[in-house]
Amino acid sequence: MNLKSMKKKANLATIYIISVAIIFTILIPVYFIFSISFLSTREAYQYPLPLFPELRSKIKLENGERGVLLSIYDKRNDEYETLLDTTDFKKMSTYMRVNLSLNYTPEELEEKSKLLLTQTQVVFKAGKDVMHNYKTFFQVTRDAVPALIRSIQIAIITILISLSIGGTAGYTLARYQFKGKHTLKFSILFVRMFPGVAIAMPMVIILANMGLYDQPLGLSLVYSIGSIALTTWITTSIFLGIPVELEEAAQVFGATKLRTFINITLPLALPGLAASSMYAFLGAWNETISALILTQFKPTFAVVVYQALYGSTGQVNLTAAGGICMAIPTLIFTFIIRKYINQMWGDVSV
Amino acid sequence: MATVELKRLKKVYDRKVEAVKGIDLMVRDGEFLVLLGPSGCGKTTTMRMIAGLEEITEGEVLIDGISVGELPPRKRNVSMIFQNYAVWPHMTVFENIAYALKIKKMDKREVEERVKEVANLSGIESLLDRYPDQLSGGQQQRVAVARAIAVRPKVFLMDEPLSNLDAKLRVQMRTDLKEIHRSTGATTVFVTHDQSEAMSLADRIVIMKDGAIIQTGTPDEVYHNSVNRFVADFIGTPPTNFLSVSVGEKEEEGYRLKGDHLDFVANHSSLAGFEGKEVLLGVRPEDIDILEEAPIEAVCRLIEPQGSHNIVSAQIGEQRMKLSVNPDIDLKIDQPFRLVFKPGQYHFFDPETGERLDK
Repeated sequence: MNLKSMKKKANLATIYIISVAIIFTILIPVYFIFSISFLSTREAYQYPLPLFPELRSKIKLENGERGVLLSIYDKRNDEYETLLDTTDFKKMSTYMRVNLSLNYTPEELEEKSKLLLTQTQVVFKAGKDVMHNYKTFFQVTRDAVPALIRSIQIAIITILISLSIGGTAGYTLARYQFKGKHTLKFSILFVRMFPGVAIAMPMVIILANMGLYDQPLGLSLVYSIGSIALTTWITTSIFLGIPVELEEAAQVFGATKLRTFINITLPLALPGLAASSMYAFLGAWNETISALILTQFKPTFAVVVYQALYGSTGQVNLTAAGGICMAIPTLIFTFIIRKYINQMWGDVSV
Repeated sequence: MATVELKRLKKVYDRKVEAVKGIDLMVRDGEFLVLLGPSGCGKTTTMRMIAGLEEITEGEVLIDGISVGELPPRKRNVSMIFQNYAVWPHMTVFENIAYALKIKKMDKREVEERVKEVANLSGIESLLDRYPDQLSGGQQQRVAVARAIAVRPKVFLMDEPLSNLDAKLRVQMRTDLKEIHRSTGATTVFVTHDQSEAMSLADRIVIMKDGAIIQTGTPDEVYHNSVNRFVADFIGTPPTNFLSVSVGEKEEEGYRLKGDHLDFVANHSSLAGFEGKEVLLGVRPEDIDILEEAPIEAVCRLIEPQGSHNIVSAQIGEQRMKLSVNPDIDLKIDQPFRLVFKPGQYHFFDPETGERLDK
C-alpha cells in the first residue's frame, strides 16, 4: 500500500470520526431529554442519571416498626431501598404515584399488606405508568393546554405576517431597481442586531399602549419583526432565481400581473416560502424571554415549560415531558413543510 | 393577420442611455422580418416594446393600425418565444400550451384539440405529459413554439429563440420555424445576432446598430448591396474583404487603382470625384476568381476546407483577405497565385464615413 492511498484512508477515517461525533453531540441531548421524560421522580433525582427508564419496579412490603415498610429494589446496588414506613395506605398510594410513577389505590395496597399476616414479606412487580409525567405536566402546570393553543396561534400569525410582508419585500428587492435598494436591504437586517431582552421594556410600553400586552397578537407582532428580515433575505434570493422571462411569458400569454404572481411566481417560490415559514415558526415557537416579559396571565407554551422547572411543583422529569410535548408540533410542522422545501423546479433553486 | 408599424419609436434608460433612437419600421402582413445586429444594438428592446414588456419612451407602436403603446402585453394579441425558452417548469407540456387558452376561458374540449394540433405541428405530440426538466433544450424550445402558435396571435415575436441550442439543432429548428411560418402565415418579428440565421429565415432583414436602423432589405439586397462598411462586414461568412486602394486618373477602360501590390483598372462610375483619394474596396470571398493571367498577385497562407468549397486566406502585400474557392483548384500553402475580382461584383466605400460610394 502506498503512502497516498494510506493518506486518503486516514482522511476518510477522520471525516467519519468527526461526523459521528457531530451526530452524537446532537443526538445525545435529545435522547436524554426523551428518556428523562419517562423517568419517575425517584429515578430523575438519582445520581448518575439512569440511561433507560425502568418499565417495571420490584416492590417489597414487610412489617415495619410503625406499620408497613415500603421498599423498592435498586438494580444498581442489588438491594432493597426502604422508602416509607406507614400505616396510612392513602399516603403510601400518593407517595408511589408521585415518586415512583406507580398507580395503586389504597385499597389494593391494603389488600396486598393483608398477606403480611401469614408471611414476612410481600414482593410484587409493578408496571410503571410511563406516561405519568406527561399526564402530570398537563395537570399541575398552570393552563398548559390553553398555552399550547396560544403558541400555535402565535406561530401561525407570525408566519402569515412575515410571509406577506417579508415575501412582498423580497419580491420588490428582487425585481425592481430603485435608489437606496442595497441600503434598504441591509437596514432590514439591522433589526436583528438587537437582543430581544434589550428592546423588551419599550415593547411592553408600546404593546400596552396598543392594547396588545398579554395578547397572542402582540407577541406575533414582536416575533414578526425578526422573521420579516429573514424572510425578506431568503425570498429575495429565491425570486432572483426565478427567470423574469417566466413571468413575462405569462403576461404576454394573457395573464394579469396578479395572476402571473399567483400562477407562476408563487408556485416556483414555494420552497423559499416554506423555508422562511419554517424559520418564522421556529422563532415564534421557541422564544421564551420576550414571551416571559410580554405576557402575564396568558403565557405561551414555552413559558409554561420553563416555569415547570421552578416553584414547588418544579421537577426535571416534568419539564422534560413538557419539552417533548413542545417538540411534537415542530416535528409535525417540519414534516409537512419538508415536502415543499424539496420541491425545486428545473433551474429554479434557492 | 396583421401589420406592425413603428413610428419614431424611442427608448431611453435612466434618462441618459438611448437604447433605441427613434426608429420607423413597417412590418407587412404575413411577413417574416428579422431584426439583426450586434449585442446592444437595441433590437431586443425594440421587440420588447412591441410586446409591451418595455415601456415606450417616445413614439408609437401600431398593430393593425391601432396604437398599442398604452395596452398591457396581454391585450396586444401577440405571442412571444424567448431565448431561454421560458416554459414554466412547474407545468406539464400540455399545461404550458393550454395556459393561455384557459385564461381565455376556452372550452375544455376545444383546448385539448388545439393543444394536440399545435403539438403535432411542432413535433412534440408524444411529450405532452412530461415536465420541462425531462426535456432537452430543443424539445423545450418546441414547447415554447407550440405555446406561441396555440393562441393564434396577430404577431409572433421571437427573441433569439435558437441561440441556446447546439449548432446542429439550430439549423434544423431554423427549417422547422420557416415551415411553421409558411403554414401559419403569421406576421413574425424575429430578433437575432446571427447573420446566417437572419439570411436563411427572413423575408426582409432590418440591420440595426447603436439603436438605429442601418439598412432594411431582402437577404439578397443586404448581402449584395450593403449600404455601408458595417453591413458588408456584418453579413456573410466569411465577411466582405476590404482593401485600401488609391484612385488614379480616369483612363480609357476606367479608373486605375493602386495599392499595396495592387495595380488594376476598374470601370466604376461611382469613383468619379475620388481621383487621387484613398477608398476602400469591398469584395465578397466568392467574387474572386483565380486565373493564371489575372492582374493581382497573392500568396496562399491558409486553407480551411469546408467540403463544398475551401476558404483560402491570401496575402496581398501586407493585407490579408479570404477567398471562397472551388476545391478542385490546386493551391499550396506559401505558394503565389494570381487572382482577379469579378467585374461589377465589388463595391467602393468611403474610408472615413464607411458609406458605399454608389448608393
